[in-house]
Amino acid sequence: MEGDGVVVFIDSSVLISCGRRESTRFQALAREARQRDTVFRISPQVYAEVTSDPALDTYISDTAVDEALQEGWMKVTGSPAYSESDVSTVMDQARNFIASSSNRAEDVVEKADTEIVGLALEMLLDGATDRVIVVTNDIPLGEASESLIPKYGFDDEQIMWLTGGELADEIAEDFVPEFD
Amino acid sequence: MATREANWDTPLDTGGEAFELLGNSRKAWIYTYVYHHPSTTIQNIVETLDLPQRTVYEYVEDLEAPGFIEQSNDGRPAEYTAREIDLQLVEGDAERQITPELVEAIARRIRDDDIDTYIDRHGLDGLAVALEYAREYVDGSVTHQIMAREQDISPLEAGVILDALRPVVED
Repeated sequence: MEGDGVVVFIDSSVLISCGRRESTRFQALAREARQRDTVFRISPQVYAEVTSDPALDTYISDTAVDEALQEGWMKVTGSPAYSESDVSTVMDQARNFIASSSNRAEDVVEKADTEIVGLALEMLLDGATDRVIVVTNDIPLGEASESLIPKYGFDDEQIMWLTGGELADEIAEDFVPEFD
Repeated sequence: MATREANWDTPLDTGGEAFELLGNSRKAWIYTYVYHHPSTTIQNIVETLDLPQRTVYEYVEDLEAPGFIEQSNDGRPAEYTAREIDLQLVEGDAERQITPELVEAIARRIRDDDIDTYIDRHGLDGLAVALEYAREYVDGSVTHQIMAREQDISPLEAGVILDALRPVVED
């Protein structure tokens, strides 16, 4: 079933946004997965962030991510293969890229923040797919994916970055229509 | 005998009123609504924001006195239009700006539980700092993880408040 479809990675910034209000945004995400006939992937780091964060009970109390996993339209991948040198290198480069776009010292970005970029490249290198979409609202992370992965011999079309709102309109909708 | 009328539209007078605005989310809500919808009538505000007419009259008057909003027509019913607020606060090394965006962020706590919780946990000062990060976030020069590390909050909390404040700074 897998192998020729587009692989879609969803980042924590988008899952957090989806979990903020009722379940309309998660429903939009589920609908997108269905329409694309795909299973959205999240990295172990992203899963940890949205299910075991200390602030979880204070803000997002629902368990939409676990439900999505049970319903089968989302799954947690393994960690990136750090032993593959290209994978490890692209993550270091992404770290560097994010630090430089945010005009910060590199130690404020952790390698784990860039798991999605490593996993995206790994998928393409392994031939598991020939197209990957990274969905994140963290602009430097999205830009890092699009700018670094083609350097490993892939075409620009093989790696695409979308924001949550570009994936599904509902994810960018404002809850406060009075201020439109 | 003509006496010179007090001018309440001076920095110290408006400053006091601005602080009052920050502490009263319903007043902030009305200012923000007028800010987004020039030439608004009281009836408009009452109907859209679903606030008691008496409160709206009272708050509109409070907002008009220091010049945060002003009547923008001659006839009746009166129509109101908001003016920019731009006050700089300096305390030691900390500089904070009171702007329509900050007022809107506060107003949103009425509708957005996450902003309400964030203010309860980090105060208005924390909200003002988060608003600066939100500006950087939509400009693409910061990630939610970076904000979390620099402000010593969890990544989820940073992600939540950036998402909540995005509509305030996106225009």
